[in-house]
Amino acid sequence: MRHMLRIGRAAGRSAEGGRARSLALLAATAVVAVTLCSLAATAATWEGREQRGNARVPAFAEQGDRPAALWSRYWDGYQGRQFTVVVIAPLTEDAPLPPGVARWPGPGEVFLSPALADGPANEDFPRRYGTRVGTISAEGLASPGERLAYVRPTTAMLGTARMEKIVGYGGPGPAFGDLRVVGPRSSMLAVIGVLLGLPALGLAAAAARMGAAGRDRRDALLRTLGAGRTARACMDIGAAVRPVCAGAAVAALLTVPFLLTDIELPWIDYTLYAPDLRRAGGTLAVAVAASALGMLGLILLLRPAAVRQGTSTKPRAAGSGLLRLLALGSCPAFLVLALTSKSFGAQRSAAAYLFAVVGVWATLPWVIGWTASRLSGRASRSPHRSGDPARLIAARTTAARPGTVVRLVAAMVIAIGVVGQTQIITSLLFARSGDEEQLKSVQGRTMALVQTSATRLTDAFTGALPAGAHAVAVSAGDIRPDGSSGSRILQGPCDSLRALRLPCPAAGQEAHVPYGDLDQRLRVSGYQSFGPTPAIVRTGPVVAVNRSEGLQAVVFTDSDKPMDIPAVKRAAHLHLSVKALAEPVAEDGAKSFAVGYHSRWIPFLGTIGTVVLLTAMALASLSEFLRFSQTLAPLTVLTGRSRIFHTTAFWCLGAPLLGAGAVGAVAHVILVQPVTGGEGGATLSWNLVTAVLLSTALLAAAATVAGGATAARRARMWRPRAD
Amino acid sequence: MTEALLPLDIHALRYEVGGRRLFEGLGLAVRAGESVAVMGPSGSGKSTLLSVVLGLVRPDAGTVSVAGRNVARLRGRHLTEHRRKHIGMIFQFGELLPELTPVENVALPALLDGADRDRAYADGRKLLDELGVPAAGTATGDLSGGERQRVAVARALIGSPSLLLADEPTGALDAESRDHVAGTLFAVPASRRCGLLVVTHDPLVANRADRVMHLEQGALAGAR
Repeated sequence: MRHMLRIGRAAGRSAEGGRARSLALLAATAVVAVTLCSLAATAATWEGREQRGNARVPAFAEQGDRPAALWSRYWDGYQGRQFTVVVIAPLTEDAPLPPGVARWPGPGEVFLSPALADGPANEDFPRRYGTRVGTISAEGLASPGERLAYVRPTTAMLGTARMEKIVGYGGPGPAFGDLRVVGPRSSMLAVIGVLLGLPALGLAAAAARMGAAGRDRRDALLRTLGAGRTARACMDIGAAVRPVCAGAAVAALLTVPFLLTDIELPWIDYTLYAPDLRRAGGTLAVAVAASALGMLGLILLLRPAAVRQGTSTKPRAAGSGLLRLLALGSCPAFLVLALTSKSFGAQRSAAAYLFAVVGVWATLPWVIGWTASRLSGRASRSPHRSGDPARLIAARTTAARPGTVVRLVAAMVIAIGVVGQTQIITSLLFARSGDEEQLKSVQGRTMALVQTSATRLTDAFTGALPAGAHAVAVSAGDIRPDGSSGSRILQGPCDSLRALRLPCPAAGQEAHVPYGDLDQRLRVSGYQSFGPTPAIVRTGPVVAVNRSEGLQAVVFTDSDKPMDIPAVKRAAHLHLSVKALAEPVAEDGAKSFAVGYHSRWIPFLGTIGTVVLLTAMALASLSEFLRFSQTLAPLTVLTGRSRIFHTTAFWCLGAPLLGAGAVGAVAHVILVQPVTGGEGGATLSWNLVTAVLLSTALLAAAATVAGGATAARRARMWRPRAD
Repeated sequence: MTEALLPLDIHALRYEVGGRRLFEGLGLAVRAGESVAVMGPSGSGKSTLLSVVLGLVRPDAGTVSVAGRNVARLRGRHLTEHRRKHIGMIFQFGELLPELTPVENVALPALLDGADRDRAYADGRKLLDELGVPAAGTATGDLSGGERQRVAVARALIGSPSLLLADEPTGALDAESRDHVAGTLFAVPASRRCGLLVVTHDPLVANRADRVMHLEQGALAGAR
C-alpha cells in the first residue's frame, strides 16, 4: 500500500497540470478548513458570550435578603447603536464586584469597557458619565469589542433614579448588553454554512477534478492491469496527500493568531475573544483534520465520474438532456414567478420571491451555456469566412464542449447573484433599521430629545449645555381614552420658541401650530410619541406638564450649526438624573441601526464566499483551457505565432466571462424590481452594478492574460518527444 | 524553393546534454526531392536531432543549414520566420485540433501567417483532395487514425516547405493505415521537390526512403 501511495505521489508530480492541481488542492483544503474552523469558532464564541453574559446578570434581593448593592441600567447610543450603561452603588463593605470590575468605583467614578475608553475623543466617553477610573476586563464583557459602562453616581445624584436592590451576580434574569442585540447562534451558523460552506465545497470539487482527464486514463489503465479499488484509491490519495496536508497546515497557521490574541474582524466591527477560541482548541484541531480527511474522501468520491465519461471525442451537450431541458424550461418560469410574487400576500410573497430568485440564479447558467453553444455553432461559420483562426478555434471548441462554458459562467453568475442579493438584503435591513441619511445628516445632530425623571431643568444642566443651545419642553396634550394624544404641548421661554420659528403667546395664552408648519426636526423626533399631531405652544419655564411622567425636552441649536451632542448627554447624566436619556434626532430611537450593522455580516461573508467561488471557477476554466491549448503548442512553435493563445484565451475565457457579467447584472436589475422602491423597500445600488461590471471586465482581462501567457509559456517549452 | 540550396545540410554537429554526448561530428545532407529515414534505438537522440533542425535546441558546435541558412545561428523572429517559410512538420499523434474540420486544420498555419483566407482554404482543399481525405463536413476528431495523419501531412505541406520533418508519423497507426500514410508521405518529395527527413523505429516505413541512416554513438551511419 505504501508503494502505491509513493507511485501516486510521483505520478501527481509529473502529471499534466500537476503543479496547478497541487496549488488548487492546497487552497481548497485551506478554505474548507477555515470554513469548518469558522463554524467551530462561532459556536465557541456564542457559548462564551452567553456564559459571561449570564454571569453578570444581577441577583435581585428577595424578601429577607440583606441587599449588597443598588443596581439599575439604561441605554446610551453611539452612531445609532445602543449600548448598556449600568448604574451601581454598594450598600455594604463586602458588596460583591460585578465581573470584570477590579474595585468599587467611588461616587462619581466610572469603569468603561475598552471600546468606550478608546472611543473617539469627540464622544467624550471618559467624562460622559463621571470620572473614568478603570477599564472593565474581558471576563466582564460578552465580547472584547462590547460597549459597556459601570457608573457609580455621586451621592447627590443617587436619588435621581429608581434602583433595584441586589445580593450578587449570576441571577436568572434577562441578559443585557450586546447579548440582547445579537441574533441567535443558529442564524449565524446558517449564514456561514451557506455563504462560506457552499463556495468552499465548489472549490473543493473543482480542485479534486482538476486535470482529471490524465488521472482517469491512468485509472482505466491500472484497472485493465488488474489493480483493485484499494490500490487505485491509494494512488489517488498518494497524488493528493501532500498538497492536502499542506492546505490543512496553512489553515492551522491562519487559525493560530486567533488563539493567541483578540482580533477585530475588519469592517463589521466585531472582535473575537481568544480565550473562547482556546477553549474550543480541540474542536478546531478536529475541524482542520476533518477538512484534510474530507478533501481526500471527496477526491475518491468524485473519481468514478471520470470512468463513466468514456473517451468519445464526439461533441457533448451541456449536461444531460433531461436536466438541461428542465433548466431551460424552468428559468423563465422562475423569472415570471419572481416578478409576480408581490401579488401573493405579505407572507407568501417573500417565500415565493426567495424561491424564484434562487431558481433563476440556479438555472440561468444553463440558459447562457445553451445559448452560447447555439450561437457558437453559427459563429464558427463566420470566422471560417473571415479567416480569424482564434475565433474559429474558440467557436468550434464551445460548440463541441458547451459544458466548459456552463461551468465557467455558472460560478460567475452565481457570484453576481450572491453579491447582488446580499446588497439587497442589507439595504432591506437598513431600510427597516433606520434611515442612514438621517444618521449621517448634519441637521440630525442639531437637536436631541432629553428624557428624565426630574420634573424641571436644573440650572447646573442649563449651564453645562453647549453655547447657543435652547431647550423646549414637550409633552402630550388632548389625551384620548385609548391613551394616544391628539396634540403635543411645546413650552419654553420666548427666545427658545422663536428659535424654532414658533409663536410666542402671552402668559396664560396658547397658540396652535399645524403639524406641517413645525420644524422638521420636531416632526422627526416626536413622530414616535405623537404622530402627525399639531402643537399647542405655551410660553413658560421648561418643566414637566404631567409631573408623574417626568420631563421630556428638546435641546437644540440653529439647524445649520451642529450641536456638541456628547456635551448634552454629559450634562443630562451628571446634572439632571443618573438615567437621563439624550438622543439626537439623527439616532431617532424608533429605529435601531444595530440591525443594519449586524446585517453587515452577510456581505462580509458573502464577499469572502464569492472570492472563493471565483477562484474555483478560475482554476477549473484555466485547467480546461490549458489542456486544450496543449494541442495547439506544436503548431505555434512551428509558426512562431503565439499571439493566437492570447486571442483564443479571450474568446474561450474572457468573452464568456464578459457575457456572463453583463447577463448577470441585467438579471440582477430585473430580479430586484419587485422588492425595490416604496417605504421600507430595498434600494438597488447602481454603484454595485457598475462595480460588478468593472470587476467582470477585470476578471475577464486577468483570465485572458493568465490563460494566454501560461499557454504560450507551455508552448515555448514544447519539444518533439517521440524518441 | 531553390534547386541549388540543399533543403538540409548538417556539418560537424556536436551536442551534449546532462553529461552525455548525443551528437559528435554528425553530418547529413538531404537534397530536394530526396527522402531520408533516420533509425536508431530509443534515447539515441532521433527526436533531439529534429529539435536541432527546428532550432528548438541549440547545438554546442557545427552548422545546421536549412534552405541555405544556418538555423543554429538564427535567433528570435528571424528563426521563427525562417522555420515558418521552409520547414513543415508531422508529429506522431498528428496534434490536430479535433473540433475543427480537416480543411480548417490544414489552413490554420497559413491563417496564422496572415495569408489570404480564400487562398488558404483553397490550398487546404486541394492538398486534402490529393491525399484523399474529406475536406469538410466532419470534425477532425471523428476521422480514422490514418485519415487524421494524412490531414497532418497536408497541414505540413500548406506553406510549400523546402524541408519536411516527420517524427514517428506512423507510430500510432495499424498496418493498413501505416502503409497508406507512408505511401502518401514518401511520394511528397518527388511531387513537390522538397527534402523529407523521417525519424522512425519501423523498418518497413524506413525502407521506403531513398536513404536509411542509423544514429549510433552520436553519428549517422548509412545503412544504404
